[in-house]
Amino acid sequence: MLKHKANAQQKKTYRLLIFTTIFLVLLAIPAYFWMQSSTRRAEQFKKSRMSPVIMVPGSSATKERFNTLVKMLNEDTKNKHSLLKLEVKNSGKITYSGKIRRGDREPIIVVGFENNHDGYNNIKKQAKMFDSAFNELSEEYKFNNFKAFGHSNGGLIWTYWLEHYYSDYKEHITIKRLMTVGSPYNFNETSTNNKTQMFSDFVDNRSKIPSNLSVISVIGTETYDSDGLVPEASVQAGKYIYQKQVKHFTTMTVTGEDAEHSDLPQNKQIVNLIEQYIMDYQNGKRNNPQNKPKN
Amino acid sequence: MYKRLTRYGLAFRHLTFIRIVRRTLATLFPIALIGACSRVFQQAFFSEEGFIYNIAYFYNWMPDKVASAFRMVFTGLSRITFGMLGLYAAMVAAKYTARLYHRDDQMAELTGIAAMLMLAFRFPRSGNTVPFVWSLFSGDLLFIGLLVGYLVGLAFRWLGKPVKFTVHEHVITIRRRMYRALKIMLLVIMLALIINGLFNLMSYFNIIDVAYGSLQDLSNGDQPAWIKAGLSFAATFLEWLGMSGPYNIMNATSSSAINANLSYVLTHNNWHVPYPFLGTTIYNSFWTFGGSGLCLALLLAVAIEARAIEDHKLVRWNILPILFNSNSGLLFGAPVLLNLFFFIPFVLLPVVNMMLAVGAIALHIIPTPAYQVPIGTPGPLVAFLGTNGNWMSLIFSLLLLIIDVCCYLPFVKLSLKVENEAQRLDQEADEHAEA
Repeated sequence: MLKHKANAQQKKTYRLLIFTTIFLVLLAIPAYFWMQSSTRRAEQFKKSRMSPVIMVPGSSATKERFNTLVKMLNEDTKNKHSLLKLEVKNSGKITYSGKIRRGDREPIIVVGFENNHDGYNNIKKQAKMFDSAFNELSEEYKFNNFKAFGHSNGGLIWTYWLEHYYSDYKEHITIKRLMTVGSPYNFNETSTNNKTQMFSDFVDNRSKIPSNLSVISVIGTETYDSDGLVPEASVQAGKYIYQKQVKHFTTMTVTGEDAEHSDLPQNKQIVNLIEQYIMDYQNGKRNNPQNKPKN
Repeated sequence: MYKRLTRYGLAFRHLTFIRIVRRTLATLFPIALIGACSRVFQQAFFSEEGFIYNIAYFYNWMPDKVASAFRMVFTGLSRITFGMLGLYAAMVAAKYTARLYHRDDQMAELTGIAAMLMLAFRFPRSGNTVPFVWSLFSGDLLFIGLLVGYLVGLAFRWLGKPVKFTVHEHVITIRRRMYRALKIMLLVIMLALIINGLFNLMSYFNIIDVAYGSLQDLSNGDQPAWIKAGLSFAATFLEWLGMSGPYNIMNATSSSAINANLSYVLTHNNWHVPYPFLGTTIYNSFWTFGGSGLCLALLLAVAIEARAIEDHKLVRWNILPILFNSNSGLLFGAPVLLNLFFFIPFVLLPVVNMMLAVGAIALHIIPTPAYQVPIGTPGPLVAFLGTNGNWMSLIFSLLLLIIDVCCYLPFVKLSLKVENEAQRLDQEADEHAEA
């Protein structure tokens, strides 16, 4: 009696085991193809030799903001960097203009936004918009490393993006260097005793910033404490975000001609700094690593 | 030989502590199973590194918010089930211990919870911190819960008086009971408070963190296979005890050596990776069919060997979580924890697996799995996917699984036999008592 009942149980179990095996095979098939495609993708990333410079303009500026800067950069090199410009519309649509020349290993990509207003809320929105653009770019060009450049609020967008979005990519994309120019980490405050919400959020989340990154923060000054728009102290506040978190954090002060806030991207000295510290290739040759802040 | 083993087995099973443990585990099985299932959903289905999440391309069609809502729900469910098993265990173990000695089991139950809470309490250094060390309640440190419950039960045994269990209880009887239990309760809580004070001092001087950190360093994932085999042996032993907590080796999925292997296979067209016998990789690929201790093999062995309806129910309830490597249901249900019969296969068989795998890699029968597989990948598929679909690896994994099931069979057989014998003896004793 007991034995008979147990056998019925055993049959039931075996039936379930057979179903499970079929289920496992059904899982194995899509898993196999998923693995193949994700490996292929990882290979493409690994083998990619492109290392773009991605630039983000500040508030009230458009994707055309860096045209002069790129022109000045290209004047000095034989291998011209191609320029791709993206604009993220408020609807989420992304438009492209310009293009990356085939074989260009170090193109310049500018990401602008239709909503280019100032303020912490807009920066959050812009970081999100930037992320969707970055996502498209990384899928399209499959670069495994890049350099970042941000003017004014562009640097804030980079910081916010690094703290909130970069972790999605860090497995296969490395951000090598970040240069911010005149970025007001503490908005218009002249002292870190008055912390803006944005600044304290940046400091709170700093541990998410990759530790192998080199950051250069450039300050322009017209008077002794401001570039005419952004107080020097607000740019200096960046050290509370980056210092002791990233591999190298360097600040530099530029004065003299074209040191006014909106002139900074056309400042000859800053162009030199970009060539020296951000670009990998100079005159078609690999940038001498000794020229860089050791990394 | 067989007879002697049966006798030893019965003797071990008759130890008071083990009897309490068996009863407690059986009672807590549903909670462990719910915890196991919710972990599967949380990790394999709705986490971004999850197996189902990836192969079903959830990220393409499921809104992020929906996935994270599901993940939150199942995280909550895991926290209150698996994350609280130690607390439940203290309660149930205290109850059964008190009952075994005919003491007031309800009061013991309460005291068990209070003692456990007291032990886990940390005096907050600033106002807003959560005052409990939650990990002490978790299933990863189950043994502590069992021990606390057992000791509380013993306190009732030594200090309390026997009670008669009545079906219907009036308030006055409860009050009488309560006054008798009050002193014991106070004493136990005071004792817990003193131990807790020591813990607090230790945590104030960061002793615990330092010890914990040095253990974690051992699991960073860069060791060769033979060191890993030793460490994993120790870890599986602790897991058998119900103490998987302090040394969680499943964590190491990324290390410099793993990355070196990965970047090698991504840029070359051969399998001569720099670290062919990397411990973590081999551990993850060949050690964990159905969670640690090769629980999938155990489950299949039980399915083949068992006759009783309860055993088959156990198998059927556990198939799904075990398939996705979540084994706490089976650990409680079989039970595996503190079960002498499963000790040898549970702890040693994985080492055998690992050595066979190292041998097969050395003879170039299979490549070293270098790709990272998603969390919750069914055990037999891990090596297959980790080698980007190498068929030999799949066949080798299935062969290993068959070997493992065969090795588990005699142990399962013996365990079932002793279990039957014990039940027969218990029944006889019951009849004797009634007569």
